[in-house]
Amino acid sequence: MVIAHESLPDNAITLPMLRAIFSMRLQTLQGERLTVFVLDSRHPDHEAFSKEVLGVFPYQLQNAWNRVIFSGTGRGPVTVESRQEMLRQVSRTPGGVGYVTGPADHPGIRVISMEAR
Amino acid sequence: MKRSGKGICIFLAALCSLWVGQVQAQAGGPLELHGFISQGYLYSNGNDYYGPSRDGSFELTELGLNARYMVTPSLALAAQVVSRRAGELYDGDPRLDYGFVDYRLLDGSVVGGVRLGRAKIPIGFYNETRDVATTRPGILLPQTIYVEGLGLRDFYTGVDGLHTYWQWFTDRGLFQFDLGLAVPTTMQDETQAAFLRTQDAPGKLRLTSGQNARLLYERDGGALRLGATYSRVRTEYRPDDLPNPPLEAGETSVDALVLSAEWNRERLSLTTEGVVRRLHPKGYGPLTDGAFTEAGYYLQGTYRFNHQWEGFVRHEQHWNDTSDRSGTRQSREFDPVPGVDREPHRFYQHQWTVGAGWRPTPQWLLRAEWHHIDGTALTPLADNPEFDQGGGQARWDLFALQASFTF
Repeated sequence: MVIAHESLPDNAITLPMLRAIFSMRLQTLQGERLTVFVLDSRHPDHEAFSKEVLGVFPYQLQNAWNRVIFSGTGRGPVTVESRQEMLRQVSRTPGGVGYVTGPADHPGIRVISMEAR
Repeated sequence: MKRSGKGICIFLAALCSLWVGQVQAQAGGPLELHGFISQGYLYSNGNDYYGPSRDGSFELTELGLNARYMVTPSLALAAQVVSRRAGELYDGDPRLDYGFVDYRLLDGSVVGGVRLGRAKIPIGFYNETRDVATTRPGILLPQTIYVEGLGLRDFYTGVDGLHTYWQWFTDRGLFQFDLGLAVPTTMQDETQAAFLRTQDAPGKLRLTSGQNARLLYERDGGALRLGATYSRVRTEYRPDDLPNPPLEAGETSVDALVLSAEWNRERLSLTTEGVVRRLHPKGYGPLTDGAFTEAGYYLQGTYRFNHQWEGFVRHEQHWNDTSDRSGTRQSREFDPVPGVDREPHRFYQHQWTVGAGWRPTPQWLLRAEWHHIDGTALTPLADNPEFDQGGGQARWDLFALQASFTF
């Protein structure tokens, strides 16, 4: 599931916007700078999140990151080592966005509900 | 052309020190640093490509370092310095690849903004990151679209001016529109030599006007990507004040349309791009007469065996003038010119490429590819001065290896 720092607005995010956030096209939301946290692109949770939630393949995300990083048009995501670090970092970073599989019960974390279609 | 080993060394040292800085930079902070380094090896028969590749050449080295600083959520500063050594064409002197102020006016489901300064021109799928090995679909980009040897490159890479962008994220897909306006600039000597297709033209080549527009559409997160780019460039050549200049004053207009399509599955990607480029030179002396149309396309299939290994096959075709695809008429036009003789193979280039890539980690990429080529239109004259004396081989092969690291 998608998680965010509690500072981010509670209203739902659409799938197209979520794809834009994780492909680093959308870098701010309602005036707040977003920081995207991901696991290593070879981590099974990253692959599952990419394919099942975003509906894209990890190589497409990697390509999108390289495009923004090396054209100066955006920033890359921050890679974290583990699910625990993901929770810790997102809870600590205003504007932080990430994902976890399993319980996301952590102070400072908001679970982002996908807007119903 | 001079070699600048010293410049590369200084640049490498700066790169290393900044890399250390990057480790210290706080993850997720307002400052981000990234870089790339790649080294190629080329071996060919028939003609040279990026240095004396018939004997084996290491003259393909790309180094880059960039920084992006978010001053406020809507204001960012971004710059990249690149050193690129590519045979006789580019000597590795570090240059500012891009450097701009990025002001975002809109965020949310519509993103829009302006960039002021030097930015990479979005053309097709790859132009903005063309010097970064890991972002390319092979060691060498399809040359008919991402021209190198014809001297058009510098009209389409870091261009000074105003660049606007707009992205719309909808349930029907993503729409992106980029519009760039260039300010007039004087082109560097290598570009001038390649563009005028002679090493011997004292004077100045200027870009007097340039505009670029790209529309991009991505469906289902990029399962299907479609793009259309139109770019318009006007140039002017003024010879130095000498008696009997080898080339008289002239102007050239270049109008290009690039269409792009890509289909992505988990293992397979199919990519195709085509270009139609209308060139209209006026002046320069007695040889020039009227406009002509350059065209080309490529089709590539990439297959990912697993996370680390991929292979690809690509077919490319290119004609300098679509009304003379064999090049015989264009070759004959040089018959009355003293001291210049160009074979028909200088006016087209078609090729098959097979390649493989290995990514042991997301940062490292090792590639090998083999090109079977017919023609030399997209092969640098600077690496093959004999092309102007009726030399060069029509049919030839090029083998390339490249290692790249990005951070």
